[in-house]
Amino acid sequence: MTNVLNKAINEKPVTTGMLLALMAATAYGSSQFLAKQIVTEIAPPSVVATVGLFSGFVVLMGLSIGNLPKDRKAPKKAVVFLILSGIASSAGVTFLYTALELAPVVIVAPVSSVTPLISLSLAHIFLPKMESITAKTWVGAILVVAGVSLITIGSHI
Amino acid sequence: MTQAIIFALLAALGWGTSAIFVRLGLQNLTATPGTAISLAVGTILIGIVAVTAHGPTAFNLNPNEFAWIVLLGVLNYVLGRYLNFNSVNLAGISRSAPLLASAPLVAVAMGILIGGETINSFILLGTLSIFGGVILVATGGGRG
Repeated sequence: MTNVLNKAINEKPVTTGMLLALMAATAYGSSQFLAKQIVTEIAPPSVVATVGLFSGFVVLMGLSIGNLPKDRKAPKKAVVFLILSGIASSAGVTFLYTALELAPVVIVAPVSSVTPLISLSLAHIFLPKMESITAKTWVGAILVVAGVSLITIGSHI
Repeated sequence: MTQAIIFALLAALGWGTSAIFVRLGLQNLTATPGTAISLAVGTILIGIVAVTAHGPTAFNLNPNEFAWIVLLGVLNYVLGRYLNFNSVNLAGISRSAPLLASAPLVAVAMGILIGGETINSFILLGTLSIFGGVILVATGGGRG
């Protein structure tokens, strides 16, 4: 399996990368559908978020254990930023599961996908040297806002 | 339903804010331990919220229920991210971002085909508009 993947990466890296992107989208999309079933039938959103986050943590710790001595030397500032990231993203996960408990996936999934627009806007405000906003971004932003508005209207019909 | 849309937007705000801190934090640390730190903090924080809101008995899950939630965690935080990072690395952000933006379309398709959910023309148009908008945002953000 690993040999097949390595061969594909070496021979057609762009095609393989695009295939992996589609697989990632499938993983993310199906995880939202699965989350809907779990918060509806098994446990409350915060419990699902806790166990889900912990599972991800255990697997990733297993994968990164070899780098632990090197990573322990990372600046405290970097760790603080990642702690803040953990607070924000776990709040995001809990909000998503709460939304999925209240409404169908067909409404929650598209609305919660506006993240790139929010992160780019925040980056433009707080990290102006790292990100700039192009005309393409503005058109995208208008489409996203229009889409959220249409879904809000459609959810009341 | 409006409440659910507000929660979905708050979710996006949480992840959007998280991305800024990740960008700052990962300048001195690699992605895997960085994600592990982020997930550890999330587990503790949301765990406290869950115990406060529902009591420790809410975690009394049978092995089958527990396995489904573990599958959700691995699918999202490990497999999704692993494939995501590798796709960006191999194909570049301009090619992978539009494909990654199709994740909500997968969720919507599964909701309709497997979950038996229904969709009207407003929700369909809105979904396609967000899909197109996210592709433009993800591929149009220039670096200063």
